[in-house]
Amino acid sequence: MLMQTMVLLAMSAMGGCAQQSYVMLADDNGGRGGVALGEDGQRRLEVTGQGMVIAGTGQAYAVSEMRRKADFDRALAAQPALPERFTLHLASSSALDSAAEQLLDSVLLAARRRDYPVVTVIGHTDTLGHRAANEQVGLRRAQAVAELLRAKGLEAMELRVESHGERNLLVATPDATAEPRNRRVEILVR
Amino acid sequence: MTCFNNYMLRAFSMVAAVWIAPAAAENLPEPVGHVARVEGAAYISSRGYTNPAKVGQAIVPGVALSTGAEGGLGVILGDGSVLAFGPHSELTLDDYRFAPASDELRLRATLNRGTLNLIAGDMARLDPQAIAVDTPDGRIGVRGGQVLMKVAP
Repeated sequence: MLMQTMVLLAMSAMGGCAQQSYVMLADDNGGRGGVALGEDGQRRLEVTGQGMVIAGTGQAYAVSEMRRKADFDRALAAQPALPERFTLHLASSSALDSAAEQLLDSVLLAARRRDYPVVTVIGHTDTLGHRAANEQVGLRRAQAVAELLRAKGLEAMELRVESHGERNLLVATPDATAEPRNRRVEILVR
Repeated sequence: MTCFNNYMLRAFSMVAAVWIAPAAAENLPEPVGHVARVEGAAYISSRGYTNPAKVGQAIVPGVALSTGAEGGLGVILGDGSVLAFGPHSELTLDDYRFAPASDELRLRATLNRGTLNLIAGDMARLDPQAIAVDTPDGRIGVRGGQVLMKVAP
């Protein structure tokens, strides 16, 4: 009985304002991350470690380490192995250099480390040329790399081949711009 | 008693889901992600059927993900976004589309209860307004990075 009362007391002590629904920014991703709340997204959360009550008009506040642990330890522990990204830049010649060979080997290794790997091969182009044509070029690039991975003996639960064409640039450029860094194939292992 | 009923209901749903699967397989939507981690009680509900979540299982738009008292669940979506849940959580994936070539970028979900650890993927880099999670208290727009949210009971 005493034990129960103590537990109840402890629970109510942890309550109060902290029992409101809230959101916190755990990592601002080098300044590119953040949260927008409210009807028009006017309430912004942009500093790592800060939180905000979802309802109302309240401002950002620092979330204590204890609070974060109590609320989110389990959700953080349930986080799966994060997806791994590999970028293959296309040389002017079609032959693979040793760096590209190594990169493909790392993809195979990354897939082997997972129980149910899903591998997505995504082709990208620069903005030179028509958008629809670039989508096709991207797809051909991705297919070629997927074929290399298959030939190397990639084992995956699912191998997806996609093209983002000129709509996912690594380096932002205006339209009709040749940019070798944007001609690439990305491989996502998740 | 409630627990027993729930258990029976789940057991029955599983049988029903297996039974109905061949007929439903043809018009199933494309998978947009998969289950990558399961701890304890974690479930996926689709078309009214609730089954224990399994690692490797496909996620399609419209599914509800939930966890029980000691449960945890981790999901990875097509753009590399990660959703991880603590115990007593429930989220519906209302809409998901990652197709930059056709300018379609959206992740819409509703967190009804519990805790969500969301790591934004490529989607947020391409469009900071692509990811939004609705809660009973209002909408959370995730512009990027790692965001933790708690919907209090």
